Parts: sequence; C-alpha cells; structure tokens
Amino acid sequence: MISWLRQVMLLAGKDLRIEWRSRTALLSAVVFASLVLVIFVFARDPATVPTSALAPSVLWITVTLASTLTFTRAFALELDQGAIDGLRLSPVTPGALFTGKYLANLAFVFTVEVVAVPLFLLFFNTTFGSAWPGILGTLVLATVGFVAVGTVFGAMAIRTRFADLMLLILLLPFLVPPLMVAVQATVRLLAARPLSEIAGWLRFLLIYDIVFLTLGALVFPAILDE
Amino acid sequence: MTAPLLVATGLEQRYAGRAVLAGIDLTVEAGTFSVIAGANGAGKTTLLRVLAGLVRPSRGEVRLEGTPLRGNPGVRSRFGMVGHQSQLYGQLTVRENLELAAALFRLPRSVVGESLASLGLERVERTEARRLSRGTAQRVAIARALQHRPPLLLLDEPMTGLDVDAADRVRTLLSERRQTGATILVVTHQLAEVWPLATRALVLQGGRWVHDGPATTGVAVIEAMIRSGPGGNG
Repeated sequence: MISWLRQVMLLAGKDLRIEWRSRTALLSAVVFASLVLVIFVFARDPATVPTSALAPSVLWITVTLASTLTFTRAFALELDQGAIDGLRLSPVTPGALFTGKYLANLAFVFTVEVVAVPLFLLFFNTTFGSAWPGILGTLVLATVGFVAVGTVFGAMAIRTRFADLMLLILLLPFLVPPLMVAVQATVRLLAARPLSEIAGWLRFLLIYDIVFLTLGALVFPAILDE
Repeated sequence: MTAPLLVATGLEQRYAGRAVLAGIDLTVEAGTFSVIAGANGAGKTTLLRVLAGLVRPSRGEVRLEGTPLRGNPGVRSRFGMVGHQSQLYGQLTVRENLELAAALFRLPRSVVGESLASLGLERVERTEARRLSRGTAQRVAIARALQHRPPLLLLDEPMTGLDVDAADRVRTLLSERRQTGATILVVTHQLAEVWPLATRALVLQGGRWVHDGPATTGVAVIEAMIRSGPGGNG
C-alpha cells in the first residue's frame, strides 16, 4: 500500500511539476474561462434575463469546458517521446497511474475553479452569501466525478486523430447527468433555498463519484494496454 | 542446462490486414547478445515492442523466465528498453528524468549519479530533456534503460545519433553488462557498430526469420542477405 501510494504521489507530483513549468494547460483554461464569462456578460440583456436565471448555467459551462482542456494534456505529455512506454516498463501499476493522473487533473481543475469562480462573481456582480458552503460542496462533489470520467476518456481519446474533439464527444453523455444536477442545485442555492432541498442531488453526485472512480480504476488497465 | 530467459512462440501481428509478424518463434538464452537485422519494414521494431509487452500480438505469446507477459504487467519491469523515442519528459531535466525512473524502481538516488557518469552526461544533468540534441537524448535514454540493471535489455537502434566516443561508451557499457549476466537483444541497421559484441545474428524478412545463427557469420554476409530479400536494396 505504501509503495502504491508512493507511486501515486511520484506520478501526480511529476505531472504538477511539468505543468508548473509550462503552465500551458492552466493558462489556456483560465483564459478560456475568462472569455466565456466575458461573452456571457456582454451578450446578456440584464433587463430581460436576470442574473439568477443565467448565472448557474454560466458557472457550470465555464468550469466544465475550461476543465476539459486539461484532460488531453495529461496524456499528451505521456505520448510525447513515448514516456508512457517508460512507465509501462516500470513497476508502476495501472491503478497507481490512473490515481496519479486523476489527482493531478483534480488539482488542475480545482485551480481553474479557484480562478473562475471569483471571476464569475465579479462579472455577474453577485455573491454566494450564505449559500457558499452548499456551492462549495456541489463544486467539489461534481468535480470529483467529472475529473474521474475525464481522466478515463482523456486516456482513450489521446490516441485518436482528433483527440480534443473525440474527448468532448465521449465525455458529453457522461457529463450531462451530474451537470444537470449541479446546475439545479446551484439555482436553488443562489435562490437562498435550504440545503435540505438539494440533499438528494448531493447524494446523486456522491454516488456518481463513487461509481466513476471505481469504474475508472477498473477499466484503466485495459485502456493502457490498447 | 538452464531454462531460456525469454521464449516467444507463434507471434503474429497484423496491421490493417497486413502481416507484420508472421509466426515468429524465438528463444533467448541468458547471457547472450543477439542482433536482429532486416530491411525497413521487416517487422524488427514491432517484434521488439511485442517482446517487451508494449504491443499485444494478434497471436502467440511471450514468456520471460516462464511467466507469460500477458496478464502479468509487472514482468515488464525486468526489461530495459531503448526505443525510437527517448521515453523522457521534455519539461524535466536530465537528472529529474533519471531520478523519477530511479524512484519508480525504488533505487537509491546515488544510482542517478552513476548513470550520469557512465554515459558522460554530467554537463547536461540540469538541462531540460526537450533541449537535448538527438545524440544526447539517446544517451540519456540508454542511461535510463540501464539504470535499474534489468536482466534483459531490448535495444532498438541504440547507436542512432551517437558520435564515435558515445558509441564507444555504449559498447563498453553493454559489454560490461553482458559480463555481469545481462542478456541483450539489439535491433539495428548499423551491424558493424555492435558486431564485436554479438553472439547470435538473426535476420527478419517480411515478418519471418530467414536467418538465425551464431555471429561468426561475417557482417557482409548478413548485409547481403538483407539486400537480396524483399524490401532490401539489392
């Protein structure tokens, strides 16, 4: 177990170090998130579309699309110069590789959210008020499952000719359920509804997380060997 | 008589309906130095990747010390492989790449210094791998493959891009490794570069062996064999 954890930390640390040096994925995601927010802010007529109606969808569109930019990058750096062969010829287990990639992706996406959420509050001139613990919980729960699915499909899509497009096509059906739930939960939280009203949706997100983290760990070895 | 180190039986590999490997059997005894030659497209690189367990064959199986590679991915860590790509992370320095590999194999950090010294890489240890010349990257790739002292080395064109001094260093290293019990399988076009070390020569044509014998056969004979076959220049 200690050896496995050590492998996970080595792999996640390697990915984070590489991203810290290049900052390509992170910068692209942050710039992309800012652009989406700016476009929504200037495209909307505040007199006809109230913030409360649009904001939750914009928040989740921004976070989701910006985050997908990181998923193919995670495996692109393994294919460049065949580094993945080096890992496959090492004692690293597929499970450790999946978990290491997953943790690095999770760190990227949380970083994107840390930048995108304040920008969202700024551009929409709004606050979470007392809803912030619920919003934070929804963000964390949705991100945990979303990144698990993104990590698995990122590994599958990277070997295809149009990796980014393929990733979006593969991801979409799996992202719709948690995104719908996250948007619905956010709508209610921003409308100052009690947390108990969204408890069922939070449970759904938790189950989604458990299912896709487990499935990811199970199918990843097969993806790696193809 | 000891059991062979590596046994491959009935290997077939098809890409888009074309047979790249057409029923390859191979037995490699421990401590030998085998050279696999053949014209471009003969299937040499595919064979090496199948033997390393990086590509699953359409048919056949590979066993290392009796253990099948399929279903036992952990066995792959007993190989050291140099391929067409350096297997390095471009954004990490040479030292960081070697340290990562050492850490994954649970080796002490001191081995990294030894690896750097063995291939004369001290001057570039803090250089990012993406900034290395082809030859230097090849030396780092070799250092990385040898670092965990694998019992079986699979080397695909190891001398590519190396200058005379570097090629000498690599030959010396390979010779030392062989003397300490390592088994070496080299795929190359540059037969003369490794011929003095070779104990066995194999020639692949159209995914099949057309020659398998001791390396007492002259290089010229092997080269003539390659030129005369399909895909050759002759």
